[in-house]
Amino acid sequence: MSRESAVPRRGRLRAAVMRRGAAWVALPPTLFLAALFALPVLRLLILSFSDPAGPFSPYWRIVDIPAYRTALLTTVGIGGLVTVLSVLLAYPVAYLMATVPPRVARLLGLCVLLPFWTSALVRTTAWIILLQRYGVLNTLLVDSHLLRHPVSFVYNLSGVLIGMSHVLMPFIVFPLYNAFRGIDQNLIHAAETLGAGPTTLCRRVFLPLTAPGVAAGATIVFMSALGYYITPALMGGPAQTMVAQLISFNVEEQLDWAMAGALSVVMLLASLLIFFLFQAVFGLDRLFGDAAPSGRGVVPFAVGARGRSASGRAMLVLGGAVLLFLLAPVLIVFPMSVGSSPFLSFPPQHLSLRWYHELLARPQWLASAWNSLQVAAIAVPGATLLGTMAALGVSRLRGGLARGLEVLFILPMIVPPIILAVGLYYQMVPLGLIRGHWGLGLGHIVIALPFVFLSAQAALRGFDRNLERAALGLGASWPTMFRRVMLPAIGPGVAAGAIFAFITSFDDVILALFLTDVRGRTLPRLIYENVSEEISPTITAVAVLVILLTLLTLLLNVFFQKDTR
Amino acid sequence: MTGQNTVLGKSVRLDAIRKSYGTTTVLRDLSLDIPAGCFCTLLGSSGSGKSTLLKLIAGFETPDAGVIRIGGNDVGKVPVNRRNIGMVFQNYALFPHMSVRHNVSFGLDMRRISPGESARRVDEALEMVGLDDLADRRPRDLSGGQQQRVALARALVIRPDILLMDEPLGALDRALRQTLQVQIRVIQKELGITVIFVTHDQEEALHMSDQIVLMRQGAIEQAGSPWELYRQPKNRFVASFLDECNYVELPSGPAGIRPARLRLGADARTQDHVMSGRVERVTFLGANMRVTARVGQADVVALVPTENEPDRFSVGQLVEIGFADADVMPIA
Ligand SMILES: Nc1ncnc2c1ncn2[C@@H]1O[C@H](COP(=O)(O)OP(=O)(O)OP(=O)(O)O)[C@@H](O)[C@H]1O
Ligand SMILES: [Mg+2]
Repeated sequence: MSRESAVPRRGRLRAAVMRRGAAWVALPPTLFLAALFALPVLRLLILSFSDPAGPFSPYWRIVDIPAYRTALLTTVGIGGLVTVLSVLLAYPVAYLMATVPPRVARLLGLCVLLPFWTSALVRTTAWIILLQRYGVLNTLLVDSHLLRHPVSFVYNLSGVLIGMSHVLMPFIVFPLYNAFRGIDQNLIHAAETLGAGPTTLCRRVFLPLTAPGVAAGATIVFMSALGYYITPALMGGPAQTMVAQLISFNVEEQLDWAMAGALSVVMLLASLLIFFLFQAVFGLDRLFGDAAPSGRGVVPFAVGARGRSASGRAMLVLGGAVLLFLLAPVLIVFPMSVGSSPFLSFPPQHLSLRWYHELLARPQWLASAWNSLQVAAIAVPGATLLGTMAALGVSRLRGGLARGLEVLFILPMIVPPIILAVGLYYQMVPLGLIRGHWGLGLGHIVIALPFVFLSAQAALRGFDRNLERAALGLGASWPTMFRRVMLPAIGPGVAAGAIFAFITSFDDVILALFLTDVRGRTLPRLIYENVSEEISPTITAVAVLVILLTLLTLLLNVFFQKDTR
Repeated sequence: MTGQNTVLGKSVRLDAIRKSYGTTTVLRDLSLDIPAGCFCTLLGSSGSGKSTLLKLIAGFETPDAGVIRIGGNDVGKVPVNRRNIGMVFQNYALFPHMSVRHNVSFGLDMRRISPGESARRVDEALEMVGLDDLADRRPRDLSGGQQQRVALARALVIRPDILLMDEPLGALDRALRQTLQVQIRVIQKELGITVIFVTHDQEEALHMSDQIVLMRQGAIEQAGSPWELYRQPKNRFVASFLDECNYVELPSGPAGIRPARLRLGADARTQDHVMSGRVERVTFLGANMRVTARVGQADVVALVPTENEPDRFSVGQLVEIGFADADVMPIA
């Protein structure tokens, strides 16, 4: 290279920057994830080979020691059962949503999503109140003589299955709903004229046409289920110990980092394998977008003028029952929180605000809520800024680099949070980050970033690049164009991402368990500590307040989205 | 298909059919007789109730009042899947997850036809529509015309009592539409099947039908052979729907006359009726020229052969317009 080329090269660089535009903005989020996501996870994996007894000794122990073997099988088994159960439960709801008027369908969709966005701890607590031996369900069943003696539905397999299907089901309901909506009414008519009755219609038309949507949803459910920690820990018994719990146990009780690392490797490999399989088979767009098939003259199928068939009506009743199942735990805490009995009896005998008073009287609740908000104050702006930058950068790139970065920005929601929590713990303790809010705040940026990324990315896809070119052509600089043209267009999408970032941060308990100390503990962590000992009615008051806050935040989102249409 | 497989379709009789959605009445006391083996076209502008009528016959909807008989039997209580009806949709409605062969054999599976017999009939049906070499393709790998032929084969293979087609050619281009018009007509004649065909293209109706039913706002304006509707329209609506028409006042009463039946210039003088007008517009159409002339307060349109004199008529020129008694269509 000669010296003369220095000046032209600078010109070339500028041209490249102009051409690629803002692709460089993907750099900060990439570096951030490299340092606070990839590095801690990698170090944990390397730790797995650091056992004094030999690099592979923890892996041999996983195979040799029955407890570990059993936990692996249990994890896969529970994952499979939850997936099957979610599919079975999702069908009637999706069918119900597809056959009611769109307005009602949207409302039902909110009902399906509400448990998904409600804090895992609040849900779990509510389920325990509902299902335990002297809980609401048993009271109802014994009082109506359906059961002679109360049966415990929690602290065993049924508890884990109920708790996990409840929250994972939406992943199947929505793709399935879209698949139903994409079925052309004329296809049904054609099948009917050819002689198909309701059963054949279901078997030969509905099932095959909805199968891809179900398969996509089921894959996500299975993958997420493998990494579950809180629900099996609180709602299961010793026989339902899953791998995530063993990782935590090895870090906290055994201080066996090599073993924790090895278990993480196994779990991570399983998750990544499923994730990349999913990407290969369905494509990333299927992950959250609605892949509703559309074509010329497609009339979404609806219930015919001759009304619902008997099986159609049965589906309707089932759908209603599943919706009740989805909403029950969210609803039950409201009456429970205004009862006066300390034994959580149902129905509450005397109305009182006793537990709300108790809540205010105990400084720890307010302190932990304040901690949660402080952490969110770090996590939400951080995730919003970095997630938006990531989406902007990826939108400027093409080919392999774009796809690679896209995967990187989504991965934090694929990797089981327990792995990230343990990895960050290992990384942050020596840096003293566990004291104060920064450690958890940074961790929350990592897990919230994908939500902002996806939602900003969706908004950018809807943004007409010609508007940008027009603004630049009219003489605006890139920053001016961004501020005056692009930001207003993608603003609502970014705002939605910020809201999901807030909910993610505010609800997280797994990272909080590892990355906070007693003084910095957040509200979910405090609830967790209370619930794992004994459920006091004060919890119901906390739950009500958390649900109301979530609801408020979701309504805020609806409001933002409405503004754009 | 060979002669021994020939199926004779059934007759359809509609008796005072009424249908409304909420407050809008879509069909008003509609009665109609379609003989067995007839190619009957429902013609009418958008919203006139053609598709609704088809849905009632198929059984997707139930009439508010009236009786539908197929082959003499009241089908009011017979569900769709027991009516033995073939149906072809505008958007083809092929099952996307099945190959062409499985699409066509679907109806035979429902009737529990043995696999050997089924395969034979599927092959036969595909051969009939000229698609025997595409049997293993998926519908999305076919062109629009091919998809519509699969839909036709699928409807025909079950040997339906009647074949219902709702604008089956609407999504195809002109050349393909004409090819398929001929093909459908040939197959219909060969099988002797009863067809009820919906279209809003009057040319298509004239080309294909034994019987045309012209509908307007949920009622039948006129039903009859193409010739009857074209040459003996009951009223101006029918006359104008099928083709362009001039209206004149004759001593015998109001009458219609088709543009092609008008003679201009020297030819006009030998006709039974002669008027004079001033040429307003001349449009070259290829074989014909369309000449618009002002006669009194009204415009009269004539189609005259171009022959070798493209400049025979010029704007502003005075011209004689004549026509014969035989071409006059008395209109109420
Ligand atoms: N399910 C329904 N609910 C309410 N109104 C309907 C329904 N189906 C049809 N209609 C109304 O009935 C009238 C006739 O509709 P139909 O589809 O039969 O017309 P068409 O003659 O087939 O028209 P096109 O040529 O546009 O297909 C229209 O005014 C339409 O709006
Ligand atoms: Mg129609």
